[in-house]
Amino acid sequence: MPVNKEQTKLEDRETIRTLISSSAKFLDEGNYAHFTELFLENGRYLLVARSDEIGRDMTWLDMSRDELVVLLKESHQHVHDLAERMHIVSVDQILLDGLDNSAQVQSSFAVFRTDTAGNTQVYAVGRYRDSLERDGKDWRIKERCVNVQTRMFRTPTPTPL
Amino acid sequence: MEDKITRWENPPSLPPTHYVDNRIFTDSEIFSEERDGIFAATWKLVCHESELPQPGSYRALTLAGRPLIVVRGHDNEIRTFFNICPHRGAPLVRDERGTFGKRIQCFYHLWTYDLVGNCTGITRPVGYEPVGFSKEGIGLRPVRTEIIGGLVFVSIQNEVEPLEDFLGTMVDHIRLHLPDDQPLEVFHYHRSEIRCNWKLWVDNNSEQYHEFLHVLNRKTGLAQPDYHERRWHLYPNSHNVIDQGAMNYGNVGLEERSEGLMPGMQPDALLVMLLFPDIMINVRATVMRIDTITPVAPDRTIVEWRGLGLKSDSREQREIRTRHHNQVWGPAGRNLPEDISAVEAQQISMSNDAFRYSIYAREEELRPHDDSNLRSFYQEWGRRVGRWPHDAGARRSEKTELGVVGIASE
Repeated sequence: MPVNKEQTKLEDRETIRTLISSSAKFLDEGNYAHFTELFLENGRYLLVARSDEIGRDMTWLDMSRDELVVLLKESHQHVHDLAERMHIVSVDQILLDGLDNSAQVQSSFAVFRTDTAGNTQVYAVGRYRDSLERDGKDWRIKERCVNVQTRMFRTPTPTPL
Repeated sequence: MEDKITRWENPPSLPPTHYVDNRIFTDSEIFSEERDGIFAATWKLVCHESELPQPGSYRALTLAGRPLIVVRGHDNEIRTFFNICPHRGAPLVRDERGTFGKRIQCFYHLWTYDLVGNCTGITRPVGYEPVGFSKEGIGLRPVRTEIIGGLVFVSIQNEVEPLEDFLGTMVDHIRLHLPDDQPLEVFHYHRSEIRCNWKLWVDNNSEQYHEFLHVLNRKTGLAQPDYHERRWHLYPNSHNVIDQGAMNYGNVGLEERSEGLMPGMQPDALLVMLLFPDIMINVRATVMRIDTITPVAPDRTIVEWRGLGLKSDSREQREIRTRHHNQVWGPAGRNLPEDISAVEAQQISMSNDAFRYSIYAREEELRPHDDSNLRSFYQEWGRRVGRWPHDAGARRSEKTELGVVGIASE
């Protein structure tokens, strides 16, 4: 059956939603290999925040995919937070370009932290601003910029949000 | 079995300067004494002057429970006042930072003040005329403020010694690393409430022996051949600094730090200094980090972290400094989560009286893993609060001079 353009767009949107939710799920599971595979080879990950105290935008992480892979591979060597995390992500907007080969996606997220005693608290909230590119049948992340609204973390961590 | 239990309950068989009674980390009465005897009685770093970039800029903060505002005046002078309107006590500002115009105006009854602290306007002054009260008879409460190397210090104790006297030899170190002719600038700020006593954070930051905690430090620092050749330099008032030592960042796949060095720094070098009681300055060759502390409760501490580069940095240079800062520090850095995990775990052990004494007994002729700097810190703490660190229940009859804890006279 021939597939029309509108149907392709709908499929793209659904694929993109799945990509965003998968990125959160992989982080929650500690499945960092699959998380970084969601990025293009030249992909980039940024974590940025605004400091009201000094009136500046701050970059807390700015890494290529390869640097992120190294950081996450060595994470087991570090003393790390024993709590579990869960992302709740809502995709707010998907803008496909005219040729449907790239997309700008904005999502809201909240991360909940459950400590070893079972207490759950909100850990961080913010927005993902993703630039995606088509990669064959799939979509991949060219750049993820995490705008984190939370600045006072219960436990800091080098693990991506 | 019995011996092994009593060993935990009794003081260790060490000189009293070489262990600490852990109740100093948990007792609420001692916590109050620290607020009055240390934080309200000495100098406190409140911000860097780059945080007040223009006339009218202000920063609001709390010192020993007192709300303050630090303001850059139209004459470019930095002054500090209580963040309290002298009329009825409303705060003059309710946000963290901002910029005043010509006047500071209280939001409650709209009284106004100039940036020097004089009252410039009382709404409907006629009501005060019968009692002879006017704006000339009132003003903002000033707080002593002094600046060294761009670091803005305040003291709510009017009789406190001059800042330079308090810092002593450390002034030279500050001027070397924060020189007036190469002004620095804060580019990173964040804070966190940590579930530990404030002294444990100072302790963690000052102790080089704890580098074993960090895989990054084990690979880049502890393995360096001349790591143990450095020495601590301990000064009166328990300020201290350790010689610079070169790290090997290549051991963890990170780039060298040989260009764009911060003032006074050698390539790849790490420098750590403590300004008593709570200012910790760390420099990793190309970037500086400054920690300051606000004790909230015996087991709650707000730590503020600042990252600094040179004000003259190009955009490219600042990006490099930011990257170097974030590789180790910052909320997404490699080391910070480990430090916090360690001190919070300590606090849990101490809070239920399961762990009564901590050991500070390393003696390595002031080499990095010598505990002399920590012994000096706790003795100075005891002198100022009128207690003995090794026996928190015993009060000193009077505040005494420091005993012998390995302080080099320099």
